[in-house]
Amino acid sequence: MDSIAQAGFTFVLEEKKEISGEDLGLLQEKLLQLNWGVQHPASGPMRLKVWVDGDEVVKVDPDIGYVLRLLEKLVEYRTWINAIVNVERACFMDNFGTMTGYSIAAEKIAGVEVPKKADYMRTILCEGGRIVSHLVGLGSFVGVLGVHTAMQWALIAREKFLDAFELYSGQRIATASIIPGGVRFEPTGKFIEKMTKAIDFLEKEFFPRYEEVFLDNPTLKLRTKGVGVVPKEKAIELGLAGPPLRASGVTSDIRKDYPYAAYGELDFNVVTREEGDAYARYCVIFEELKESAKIIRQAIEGFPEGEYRTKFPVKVPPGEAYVNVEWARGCFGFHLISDGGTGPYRLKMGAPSFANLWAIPEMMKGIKLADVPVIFASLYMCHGDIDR
Amino acid sequence: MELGSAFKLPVEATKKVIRVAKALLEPKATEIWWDKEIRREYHYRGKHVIKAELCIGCSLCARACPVNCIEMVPTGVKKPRAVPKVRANECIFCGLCEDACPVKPEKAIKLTDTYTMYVEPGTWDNLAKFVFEPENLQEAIEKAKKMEEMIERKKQEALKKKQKAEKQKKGEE
Repeated sequence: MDSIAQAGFTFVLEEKKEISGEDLGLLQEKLLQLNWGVQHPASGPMRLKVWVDGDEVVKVDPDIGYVLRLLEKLVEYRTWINAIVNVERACFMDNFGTMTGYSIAAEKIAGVEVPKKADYMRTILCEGGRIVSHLVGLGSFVGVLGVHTAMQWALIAREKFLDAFELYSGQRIATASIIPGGVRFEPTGKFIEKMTKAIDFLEKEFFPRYEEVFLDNPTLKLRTKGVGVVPKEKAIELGLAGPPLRASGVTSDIRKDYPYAAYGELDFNVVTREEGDAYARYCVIFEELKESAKIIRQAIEGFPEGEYRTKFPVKVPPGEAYVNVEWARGCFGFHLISDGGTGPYRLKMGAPSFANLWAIPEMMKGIKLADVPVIFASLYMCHGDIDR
Repeated sequence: MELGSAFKLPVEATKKVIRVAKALLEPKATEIWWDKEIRREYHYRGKHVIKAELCIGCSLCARACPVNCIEMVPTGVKKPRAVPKVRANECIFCGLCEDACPVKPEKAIKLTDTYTMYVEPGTWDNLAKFVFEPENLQEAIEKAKKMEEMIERKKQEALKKKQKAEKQKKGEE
C-alpha cells in the first residue's frame, strides 16, 4: 500500500461495493486517482486528475498553470505599439488573430481608421494563421490516436505557409506583424505569389490525399464516432467555443455575426455539424481549412492599392473598448482600457480554450479511460491560451 | 533469338555500370546546406548592425524595445551623445527598434540576414557578455571629435573676425 502511494497513486475511500454478492477486493472498493498529464504524450503542459473506478471515469479535475506567463500584466508595462509582442504570445500557432483583436481595440479607443489595404492584409494573415493552426490540430488529433503520418503530412503543408510568413515579416512563428494603425510591412508581390503557391499546394495536393486516407477512414470512424457527444443545448449551457461549438450544430462565427477587418466584403460559409461527437469536431476543423483557403483567394483577388499603415498616436485618450475576434480556436475577447498614457492601463483577454477546458469535467463523466485523450484532443485546445 | 538475347545482356550490364558510376560521382540525395549561404528573399530578422556614423543618439530604439534590452552607451562626444548597445541574450528579434529609428534614408540600427549566432561555452557569464555593439565606434568618435574641433575653430575664427570688424568700426569712428 505504501509503495503504491509513493509511486504517485492515491486511494480515495468509497462505500463498499459488492457485485453479485461478492466482495471484489481493493480496487473495486476504492477509487484510483490517476494523473493524466504533464508527462503524458497527448496532454501538453497541463494535468487532468482522473478518478477511475476500474476502467470507468468517475470524476475529472483539470489542473492548469504550468505555462503561466502573466501576459496581461506584462502588457501594462509596454507602449501601445510594442505590446503586440506580448499579445501574440498568447498562442504561437495563430498569432495573427490575437494581434488583430488587440489592434482593433486600440484603434477604437484612439479613433484611428485603418486603410483598406491593411484590412485586407489582416484578413489574409488571419486566415493564414487559422490554416497553420488547424493543420496542427488535425495532425495532433490523429497523432493522439496513435498514427503519426497525418501530422507529417500536415506539417509539410504548414511549412509552405510559414515560408510565406517569413518572406513577409522576417520570422516564421513570432511574426509581430500587425500593429495598431495597420500592418508593419508592405505586402509585396512576392509574398502574395508565395501565399498563392501555398494555397495551391493545400488544395491540389493536401486536401484530396488527406480526405482519402484520414477523413474517410473506417478505423478512425470506429474510434471517434459517438465519443464525447455534446447536444446543441448542452453545448450552449457549457459555454463551448469555436469548432467544438459549431460541431454541435450552433452557427456561431464572429466573422459572420460581427464582421471585422475585410470579412464583411467576402463570401464564405460557416461550417457546422449536427452530431456533436469527436469525429464531427475533427470534420469541422477540416472543412474550415477549405473555407479559409477560399477566403484568402477572394482577398488576394480584391486586394486594393494604397497605404498599408497610418500613424498611431503615442498617447491615446482615456477610454475603453471590447473587441471580439474569431480566432482559430474560437471567439477571443479583448477588453482594453486606456488612462491617457503611452501604454495600455489594463488588458483582459477572454480565451476560447479556457471555456472549452471547463467543459471537460461535464463531458468526461462515465466514459472509458481510453476515451480521455480522444475527447481532450478533439476539443482543440491550446495551453498557452489557457494559462496566458 | 540467340542473337537478340546475346545483345540484351551486355546492354543491361552497361546500364547497371552507368547507374553505379553515376551514384558514385553525382551528389547524394542529402545536400550539405550549412556551408551554403542562405539568401533571404525580402528580409530576415537576424543579427543587429548598428552604424555609429549615422546614429544621432535620440534613444528612440531603446524606448521602443519591448524587453528593454537596448542600452544607450555615452560616447563623450556631443553628436551622437550616446549609441545603442543590444544585449543579444535578452533580445527577441521583433525588429521594433528598426521601425522606431528616425534616420533617413538608411537606418542606424538594422536587423540583418545573419542568423548564425552562438556563444561557446553557453554559460551565463558568456551569454551576458554577448552583445551587439556599433561598428567602427572609435573611428566615428574620432571623426565626431574632429568635426567638433573644426566647428570650434570656425566659431573662434568667426569671433575673431567679428572682434576685428568691431575694432575697425571703433577705429573709424
